[in-house]
Amino acid sequence: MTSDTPNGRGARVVLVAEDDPVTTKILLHRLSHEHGFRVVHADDGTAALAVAEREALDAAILDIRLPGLDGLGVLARLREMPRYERLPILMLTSLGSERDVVRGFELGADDYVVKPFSPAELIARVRRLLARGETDRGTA
Amino acid sequence: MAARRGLNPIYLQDLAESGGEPLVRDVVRTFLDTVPPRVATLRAALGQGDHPAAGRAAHSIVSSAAMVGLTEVQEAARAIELLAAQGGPVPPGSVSALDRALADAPTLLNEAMRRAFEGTQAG
Repeated sequence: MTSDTPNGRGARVVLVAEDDPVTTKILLHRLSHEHGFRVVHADDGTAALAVAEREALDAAILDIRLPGLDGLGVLARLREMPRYERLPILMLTSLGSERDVVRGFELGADDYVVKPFSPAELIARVRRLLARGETDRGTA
Repeated sequence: MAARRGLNPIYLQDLAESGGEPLVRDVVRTFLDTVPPRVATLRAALGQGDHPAAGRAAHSIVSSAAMVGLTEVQEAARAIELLAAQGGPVPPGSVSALDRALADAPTLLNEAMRRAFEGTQAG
């Protein structure tokens, strides 16, 4: 397992907002078992916002096509919260959803991956976003 | 490993290399356990003319199928999702195509798992 326990709070906390049980299972395993993140999961947009209110997130992975409030809606609401203005946020999207990707960037997403994705690539992207956030805070 | 019609083995192979046999079995079991209720939801939504709900159910199946490499299931569900997004109609033949693709899924997944485990043991 790759150690990833910075910032004096123990493991970094990653929100996974995803309603597909297969994708969720894979993400939970890779993020928590292999990379030591503490994963908090929500399977709809409203639950994702509740988790974000309750937890101190270090990063978020948001499926765009969430039931109820979709991933873009969650993204917009997170960016309205002062403590999550600079939260690393990665969007999960599907082939043929270019308009959603553009809208995601307009709303403040940092990155995206298209399903089916390589879990290793997704982890690498999350870690890069987290590292960049650390650097930004160090130079601010 | 060569791709067999209906399944791209690279996704289960990748899972086997990282999480081993327990993870792959867990993911495949999750797929096989959770897709039938979603197909039932899809059928019920189509029966009620609720195309947004049908589209959500189809999209969910697309995601699951894609992550385990079931290309024909993914394509059949995607076709329904696109028709539903346009407000329908979704012809019965589209759902039948999804049924046929799903009927092959257990065999394809079991074969892919066996090969993936052989690959990790050999590696």
